[in-house]
Amino acid sequence: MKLKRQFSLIITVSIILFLYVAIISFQSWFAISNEIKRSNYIQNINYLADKLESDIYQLQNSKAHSHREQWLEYHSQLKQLLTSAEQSNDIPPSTLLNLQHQNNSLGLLFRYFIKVAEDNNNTDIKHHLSTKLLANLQSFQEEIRLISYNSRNSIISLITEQLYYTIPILVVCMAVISIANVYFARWLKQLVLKVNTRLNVLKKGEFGQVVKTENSDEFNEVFDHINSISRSLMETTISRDNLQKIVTERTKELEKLANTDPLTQTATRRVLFSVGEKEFQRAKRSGQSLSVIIIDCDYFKKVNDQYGHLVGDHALTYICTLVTAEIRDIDTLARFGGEEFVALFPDTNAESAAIIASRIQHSLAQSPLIQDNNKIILTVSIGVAELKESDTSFESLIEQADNALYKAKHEGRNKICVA
Amino acid sequence: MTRIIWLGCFVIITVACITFYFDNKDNSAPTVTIAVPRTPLSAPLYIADKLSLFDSQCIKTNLIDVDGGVASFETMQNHDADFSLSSDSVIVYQKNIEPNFEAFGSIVQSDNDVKLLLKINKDLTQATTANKYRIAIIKNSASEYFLSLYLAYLGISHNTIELIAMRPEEIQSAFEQNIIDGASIWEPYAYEIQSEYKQHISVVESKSLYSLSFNLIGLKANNLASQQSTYCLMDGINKAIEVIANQPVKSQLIVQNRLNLHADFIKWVWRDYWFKLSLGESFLMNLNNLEAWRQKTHNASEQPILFNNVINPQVMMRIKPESVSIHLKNEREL
Repeated sequence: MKLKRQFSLIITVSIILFLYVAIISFQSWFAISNEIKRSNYIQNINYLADKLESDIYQLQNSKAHSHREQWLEYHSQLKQLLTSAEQSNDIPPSTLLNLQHQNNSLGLLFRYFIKVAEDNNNTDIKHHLSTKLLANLQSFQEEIRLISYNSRNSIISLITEQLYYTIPILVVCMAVISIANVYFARWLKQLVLKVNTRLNVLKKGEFGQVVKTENSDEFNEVFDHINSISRSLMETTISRDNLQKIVTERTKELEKLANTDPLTQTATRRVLFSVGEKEFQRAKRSGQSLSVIIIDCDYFKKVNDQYGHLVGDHALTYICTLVTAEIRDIDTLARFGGEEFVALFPDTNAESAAIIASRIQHSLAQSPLIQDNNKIILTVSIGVAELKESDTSFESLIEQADNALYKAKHEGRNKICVA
Repeated sequence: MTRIIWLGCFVIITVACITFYFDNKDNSAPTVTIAVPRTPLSAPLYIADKLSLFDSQCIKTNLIDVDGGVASFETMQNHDADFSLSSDSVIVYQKNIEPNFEAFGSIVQSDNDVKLLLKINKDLTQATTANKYRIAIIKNSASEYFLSLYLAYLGISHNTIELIAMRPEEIQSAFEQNIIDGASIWEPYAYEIQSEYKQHISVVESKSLYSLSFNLIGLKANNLASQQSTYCLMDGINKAIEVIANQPVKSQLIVQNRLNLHADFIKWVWRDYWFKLSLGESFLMNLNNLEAWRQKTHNASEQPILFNNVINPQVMMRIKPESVSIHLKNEREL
């Protein structure tokens, strides 16, 4: 069911129940008001009737005209009061007719009484008629008391009806509405919470799907939108972690490209000096030894000329492969330039470095390069230098190794010289 | 098919038994006879009887038409009826004769029911001891009381009036035969006579001089069955009065047909009636006032009469307690 329809249904039922209770309460209030109004009206009639009675007692003992005039005045007021009740329905029509009749009868009897009251000799009839008047007034007042009694009972009945009928219904209505609203609010809160949770998760970059509820079409539409957004984001958006991963990989690739000689896959000159400077400083601080060897391919130009540049490149690569196999992981092999390579040996003295250089030459001598059925024997000249206390920079160490290489070249190549 | 036949027989037998039971139950209700004066004042009885407002499980009613409250009372005294309808005057006058009855309450009041009819050329103030006016009255009734009241009102001496006791149905022929010059008589006789002899008889204007009450009276009985019958009778009358209040036209039609009177008359006389069930202090005041008047006019010097033993408020207390506001004095209080 649509949320709007559910909400409308609850509102409509609530309004209907309240209207029902309001109408009944209004009717009861209206009825009670009428009864109170009737009660006040009856009190006014009673007041005038009492006045009439009082004047008759006065007239029994006196001929005072004032009392006669007063009686007639009260009687006239009573007549008007009873006439006014015809419009207001304060008294049932048949009862009102009786009262009007009795009142008229009182007026006529009073005139008889006044006539005989003038005659002092006729005291018996005067007394008899005055007593008759009092008896008739008494009858009139009994009728009024009956109306008052019924009115009072009617008020009690209405109030009782309110207590036993309207108020329980009102309480039930309030309970039903409250329960319905609590249930509705709780259900709504759960749905909103669900949406909120999914949006928070989406914000974190997780692109799951929301399970739709069957209770609300409106919320199901919202969930559909969320799921659609989630799918779109998932398809077109790379997560931060993935992006970071890619960037890291790309960075590594780029760094690798920047730090590696593309031909021989050895470190570049830049890396040599960077690592060398660090090792130099470390050796200086710790007092550990540090050695370098410079390797130069003998007659490289001749190889290029004889076999081609491609073979020459291959020869350099082959030399680097054999050198890499002879050195440790902590050692660094870099292309110094052209056909020259430098190997850096931390924690290694010149003697050990020379041994490594010797193994390199031996390895080359044992494993000639085979290229297109050509067996090419490659040799290298190596200069070895160890860090001395007088060295003030890594470059000076390189220079010493370079001098040693020059000497090895000068002494006939395929030699090892230690600075 | 056989089952259907058996089922049908069972249903028929069951219905017959139930009908038989209720018929018998109905037949067990006692029959009460009421002597009803032939006057529109008896309307509640006529209507209750016509509309079956008496609970048939409680009583069955038998209405006997009589002429006037005195006749009604006498019928009851002769045990030809269980109940009668009579005016307050009858109670007062008959109280001294037969104290074996009790009044249960008033069912209707009227301030213009008893009238004084006079021949056109007659004026009561012109009567003399030598030329007495012959006025018919119904003895010991509202008729007698009303005439004495009217004469006193005019200051006319009884010496100038010759009272002739008659029955109501004799008055019209008495006029015809010139036996009387006037009559104190109640409706509908006054209307019938005056209508018949419009040119010769007039009605003296006396509205509200005497407001009589019409009352349900019964013989004193101490058994429960009789008391229960009285309750049921009063209950039926109460329902009839409600019908009169709510459906006046229908009520008038019932009375009109019952008494075979003109609709115009019923409508005219109805205006002077107020139907209500009551047993209030005003009733006692009226009885005492009538009794005092009776003693004065009859030159009696009796002890004040207690109406305690002729008024039974129990019935009204059960049927309509809010209508009872009477306080009956006992011997000690007096």
